[in-house]
Amino acid sequence: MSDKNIVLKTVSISKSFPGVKALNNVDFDLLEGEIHAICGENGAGKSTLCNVLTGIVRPDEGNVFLNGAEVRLTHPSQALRLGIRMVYQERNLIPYLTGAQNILLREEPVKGGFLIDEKAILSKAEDLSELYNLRVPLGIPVALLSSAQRQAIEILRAFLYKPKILILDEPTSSLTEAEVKSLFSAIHQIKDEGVSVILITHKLEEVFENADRISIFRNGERVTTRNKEDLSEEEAIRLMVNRNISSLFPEVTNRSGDKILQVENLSGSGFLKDISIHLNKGEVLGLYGLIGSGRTEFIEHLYGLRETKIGRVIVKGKEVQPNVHRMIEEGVFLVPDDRREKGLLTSLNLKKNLTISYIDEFSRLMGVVSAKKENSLVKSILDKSSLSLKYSNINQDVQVLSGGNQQKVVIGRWISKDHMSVLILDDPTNGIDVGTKFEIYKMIRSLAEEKSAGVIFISSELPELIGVSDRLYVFKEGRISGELSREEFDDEKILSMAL
Amino acid sequence: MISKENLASVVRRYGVLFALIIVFAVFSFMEPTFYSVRNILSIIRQASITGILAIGLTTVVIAGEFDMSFASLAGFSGVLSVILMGKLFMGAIPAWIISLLAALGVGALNGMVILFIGVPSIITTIGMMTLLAGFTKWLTGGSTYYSAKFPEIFPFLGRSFLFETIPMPVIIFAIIIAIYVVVLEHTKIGRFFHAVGGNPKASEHVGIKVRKVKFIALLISGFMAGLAGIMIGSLLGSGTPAMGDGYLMPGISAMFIGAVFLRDGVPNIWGTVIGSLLLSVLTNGFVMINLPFYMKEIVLGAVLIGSVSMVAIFKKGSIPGVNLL
Repeated sequence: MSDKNIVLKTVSISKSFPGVKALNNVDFDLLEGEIHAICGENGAGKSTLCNVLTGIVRPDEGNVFLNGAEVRLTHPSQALRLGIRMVYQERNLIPYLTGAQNILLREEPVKGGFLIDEKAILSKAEDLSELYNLRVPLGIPVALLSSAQRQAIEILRAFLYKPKILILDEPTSSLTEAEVKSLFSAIHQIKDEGVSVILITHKLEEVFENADRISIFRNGERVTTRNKEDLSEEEAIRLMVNRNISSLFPEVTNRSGDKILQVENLSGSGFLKDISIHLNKGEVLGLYGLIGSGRTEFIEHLYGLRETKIGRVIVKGKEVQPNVHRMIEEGVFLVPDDRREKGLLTSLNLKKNLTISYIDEFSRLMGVVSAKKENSLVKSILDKSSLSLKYSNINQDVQVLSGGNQQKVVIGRWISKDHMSVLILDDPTNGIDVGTKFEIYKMIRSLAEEKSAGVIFISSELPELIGVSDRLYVFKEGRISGELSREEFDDEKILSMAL
Repeated sequence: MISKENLASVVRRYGVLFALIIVFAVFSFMEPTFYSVRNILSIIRQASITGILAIGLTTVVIAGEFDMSFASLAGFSGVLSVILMGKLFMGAIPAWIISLLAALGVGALNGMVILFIGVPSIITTIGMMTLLAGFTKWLTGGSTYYSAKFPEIFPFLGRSFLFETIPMPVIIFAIIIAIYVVVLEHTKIGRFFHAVGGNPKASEHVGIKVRKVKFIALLISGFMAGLAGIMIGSLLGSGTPAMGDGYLMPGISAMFIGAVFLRDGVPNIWGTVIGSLLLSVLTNGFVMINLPFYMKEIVLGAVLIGSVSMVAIFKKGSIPGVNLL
């Protein structure tokens, strides 16, 4: 292995986003003709590194060397010119063009100087598909193809350019086993032609079957890089999650009571299958799963944002057909995952954002709102010690608040509701600084322990779920793959259930 | 003391008002009869009708949709009221009520197509605009309809005066403004209009019925068009096939011009009122100073593009309700 040339090398790359250090002093190298897998939890820095290598993100510090020469990657098209090509998780095909037309997009053979030669496009694409043994219909619009077929077309398009470096981000996330096999045999073939492949995946079996070397990332740092033979699957998981987590979380005293919410055999959205959970009074219930495991979709069914045809939802012993109004009436509230997209009412100021969910409580005949009552309500929400929202003026624009304070606004909407029975928080600490995270953990615990509400806490970060929850469900591919009580919490076990 | 930044912000916030004053002064300088009491009242009367229509549109745009059919609908309901009185010998009040109900019905139809079928509002209402123009032609037979048997109170909404000085449309406009300031700023539905227009997804998450709120906005626009329509009929004393058409560009421009008044690029009631006055001053002034016949369209088109550009600059790109598809 060591006699191979280093194609790509990064030296002490660092990158910070507001509130997060996404990459911290990362040294990474890629050899000619190897498959190099990058593993880590969500937020470990894998995608930021790839975004640096493809010129989407500029690092704060550090250098990138290509074949020994330093390069400054400032734009995706520049990375492409240098032979660095990435196949993204979300498909980037033009739906009404055929597979062949997509593969040869911007590389169309012409005849007579300017007429596109459709026959040549098809035959070139067919040659490529035969060469790598990836058989897909090439003559029909890709909109009509399955997800796996579209993935194959993406891969063929990447192969056409014969990149020096090929980055694959979760290439098998929606494929069956047979499809995965043929995909990897194509990848091995192009590797043998001298192409270096960076493989990002959550699926450890694939890593150990196909990679030559494996790098583990955690918290924005590269923990280790080893030859596949020198690493076991168990050790890889341990390295991915290993963290000291005892003091980052508030104390937990569990006094959960009766069942307050039950979901029985819920299926829907095409891939959620047979989900049953229950939540007790005064309990913090964690939901863990990788992005795409179905946890957010499940919550949207529960809250009535998606139509539920199969399954039962029971709130406080009563069966409820989930719709948003009914759930709010029953005291079930949701703090959604994407606060900019689904949380903030961007056209209303801070005060009105906080009071929108209480509006019935301070409006009079004909829906005229009482300014006096509204102002005193705002004061009482903001005075709540657990919220500690920092603002300069209650009439200020919510869009200028920091991410953490915006999240507090969305939480503040529900926190003073008298009839709260269940509060659902979907990834509430995403992109938030450590201090505010701790405040949110404290608030979650106090809602459960003092207000005896049931709290559902969803996160991609295992340590915080383990630190705050009383019980945990693990989601995997639209199903629940495990349930654990606090005594059974063990990050390796949980992660292996999710992968 | 006024600092430079304060001055800039004042100019930006009140720029439309300054523009109104300047335009008014220029016309007055060019043509002294322009600032006669009689002409000023006529300008305000014109602005009232444009303003009522523009308020309907403002509501729809705040709620995140658009309405291109309001002027055509005004023409339709105006003609309908005239025909009901002239051909079916109805009293003015029943004819007006029926015309208003018809306009509400059109608003509801717009709402159903936009919100329940899912056709973009701008497309739906362009279709509705054309469709209604056809109905209006059919009702009038294609030419001006006049009858000697119109009821006595027919001129009341458009041509009568309070205390023999203030035109009735101005009174109606003032009442609507008063109600509207309360509705938009101090009621639940007013706040919901802003919420769904700004972020429909987040609105849904807090339990606002997004489609219902947008539907109400479209109903209001229909009602305002109906009201303006029966006022136009009363003002003209007859029904003509194209009597609403001239209000389309001024109505849209008034709303967009108003969006840069007080707030940075958000349509609002006072802005729309001032925008309507500005448009009315312009159109009246063109006639008074004998501008060539082709200039009116040229200026109105430029004013519309100019005002939307101002909104785009202040909002840095995004205009609520104008996300076409």
